[in-house]
Amino acid sequence: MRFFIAILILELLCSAFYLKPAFLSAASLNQTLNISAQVPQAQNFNPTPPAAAPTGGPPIQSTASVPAAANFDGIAAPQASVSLLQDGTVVDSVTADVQGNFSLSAKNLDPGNYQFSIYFVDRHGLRSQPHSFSAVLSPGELLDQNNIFLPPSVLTDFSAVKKGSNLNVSGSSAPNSDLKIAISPSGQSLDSKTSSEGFYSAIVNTSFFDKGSFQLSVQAFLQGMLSDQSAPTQFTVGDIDLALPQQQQPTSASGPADINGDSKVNIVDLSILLFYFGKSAPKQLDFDHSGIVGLVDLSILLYHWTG
Amino acid sequence: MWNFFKNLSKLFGCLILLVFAFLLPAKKTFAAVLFIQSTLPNASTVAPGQSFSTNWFLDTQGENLNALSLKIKFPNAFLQSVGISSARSLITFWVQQPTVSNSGEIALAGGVPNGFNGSQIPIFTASFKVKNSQSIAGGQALSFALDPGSEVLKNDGLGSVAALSLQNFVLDVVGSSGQNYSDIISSPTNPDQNIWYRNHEVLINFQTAPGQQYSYSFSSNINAVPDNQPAKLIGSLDYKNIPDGLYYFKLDASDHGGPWQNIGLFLVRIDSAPPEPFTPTIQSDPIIFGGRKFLNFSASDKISGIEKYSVKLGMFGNLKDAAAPMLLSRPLIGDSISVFATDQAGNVRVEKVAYPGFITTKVFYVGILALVLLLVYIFELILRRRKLRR
Repeated sequence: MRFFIAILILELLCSAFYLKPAFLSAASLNQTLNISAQVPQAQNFNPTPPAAAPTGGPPIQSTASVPAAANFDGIAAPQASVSLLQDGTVVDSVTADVQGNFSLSAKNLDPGNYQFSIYFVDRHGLRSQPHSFSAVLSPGELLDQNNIFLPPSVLTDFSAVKKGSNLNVSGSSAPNSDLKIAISPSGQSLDSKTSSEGFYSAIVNTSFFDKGSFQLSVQAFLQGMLSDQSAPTQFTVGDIDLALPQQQQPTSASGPADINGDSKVNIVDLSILLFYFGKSAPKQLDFDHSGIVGLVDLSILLYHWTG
Repeated sequence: MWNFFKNLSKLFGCLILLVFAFLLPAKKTFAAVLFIQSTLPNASTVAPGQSFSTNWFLDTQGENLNALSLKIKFPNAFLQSVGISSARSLITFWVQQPTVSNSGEIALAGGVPNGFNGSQIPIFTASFKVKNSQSIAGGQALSFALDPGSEVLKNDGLGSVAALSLQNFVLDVVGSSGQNYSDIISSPTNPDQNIWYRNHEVLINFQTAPGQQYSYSFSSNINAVPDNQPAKLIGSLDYKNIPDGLYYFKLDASDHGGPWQNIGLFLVRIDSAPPEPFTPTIQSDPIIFGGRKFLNFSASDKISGIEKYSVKLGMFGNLKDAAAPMLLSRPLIGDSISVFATDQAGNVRVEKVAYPGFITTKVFYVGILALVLLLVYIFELILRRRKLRR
């Protein structure tokens, strides 16, 4: 009897110090199935038709997947924080070197469809437009994406500018890149260049602009490489100067869709938005001021997504 | 005379303008195109009783899009929906998972962070069976139509609407009712073509008729076809160690050495892998639930897709189906919350997030220990008293 009690006490002592008793571990841990084995490299799997023996013959292939992987390298702004998103989740993040070079990877991927995007946040806290692409990964496949030239980050000092005033455009890209600042719909463009530290600043003189709405985007060129266009930046030319809203200042990399104010736009913000989807909601969720949280608000949030 | 020349010059001017108008390159009008890839051997014909699957893709035509809401009408008087799935879709977050209504409408809405761009973006799959009713006859045309309320939005930070069209997909009904396609091929291991199974061994049977020769293929490639070399008939076909994925068994037949014709298709769905690892989080924000704590989670499964989430609070909480965001109540006993993500094949991934209950696990076990020790002490006391009495 005493021996039994001693064993019982020992078991309880183990439990108290997190040595999990057997009766608790089995039920919960068995819920997860982890498979590991070999798999064909080809994207399409064509099992060998059964030969003469209907149920015999050696195994055709093993049953589970060799994980796929993806590597990315390219150029961002010097010493910018570069993030890789896999289906909206940050899976790797590095600091670019002084030349802006970066290398990122996603590992242990199940075969299937993936959406990857890469963006940087420069030393001023400005975020670049993400470089996005989708890929179908086969078992064991290694996807290599090289020479990705991320678009420059862009900041204008005014969202509305008095006709004749100057609009200052600044941001960063790879050091010593040539830049083309394109303004539509006026069709005007001006050239600029980043410094050896990757910064640029250009002045748009609005004297010759008609009053109205415009947008500008910046594209970088470096050693035969061409970046994506930056995110279009809206501004109007009219009778007054109007500074940028607070959320578009360099201190915020997440834009207006950061609902919970944690400087990120991710699943938490999406979750809150979806909770109110189709309903009237607080102003900070109704980005398009339509009175209802809907697909346009979702689109705006997904555009500003940081993971 | 002057007026004549004046009118002539006007006419000439107009002609020049017209010529220039034709010569100038037309401004390219962007329009995303929704298109269908079906499993039908002949992409444009069906017969009563025939089952087929449709894979729906979006060609973004070079535009970066990030959200969509689709409503698609199908002729439900003639087609019966037998399954719809978001498995293998590129859409990361669903506002509305693909669903089919009784009125013959497919509806879905969702989006992709930072947008997507491509000529063949997988959106969803839907399976149909041509009804065997008297009302359907050869020569009838069945078509799908996009509801005008459908939208795709650009990834431009403004939610601008992009033009959208549905590529023409019309099915001509051929033959008469009576032939039951679904009965030709069957699988005792994977009987329902619309259900995901976890087994890696697949048995396939098909009915044979005298004088017929058969050729078949079994592949994850939708475009693979039988080689039309007569196969040796061996009873059940036994495919072993099949990796996870969607497979197409196609059967061709030749009647007394005549031309080969496809006579059946059977889909096999296998998924034995759990959903991918994910990280549940606990948040609070004044904008939602009055600032009280809520649980957030989102998982993905690359093969069959997520079927449901369940949540267990603490050590002894009941496992309940849940959706994010979920308002939290503090568990009585335990240190964490378990979130179970289940895929369409029933594979489960369990992730935990720390969330102490009113009584932590350690305190609970120490309490139990103290109780046991107390009981032992009382038991010992009773034994001693009995001994003393003796």
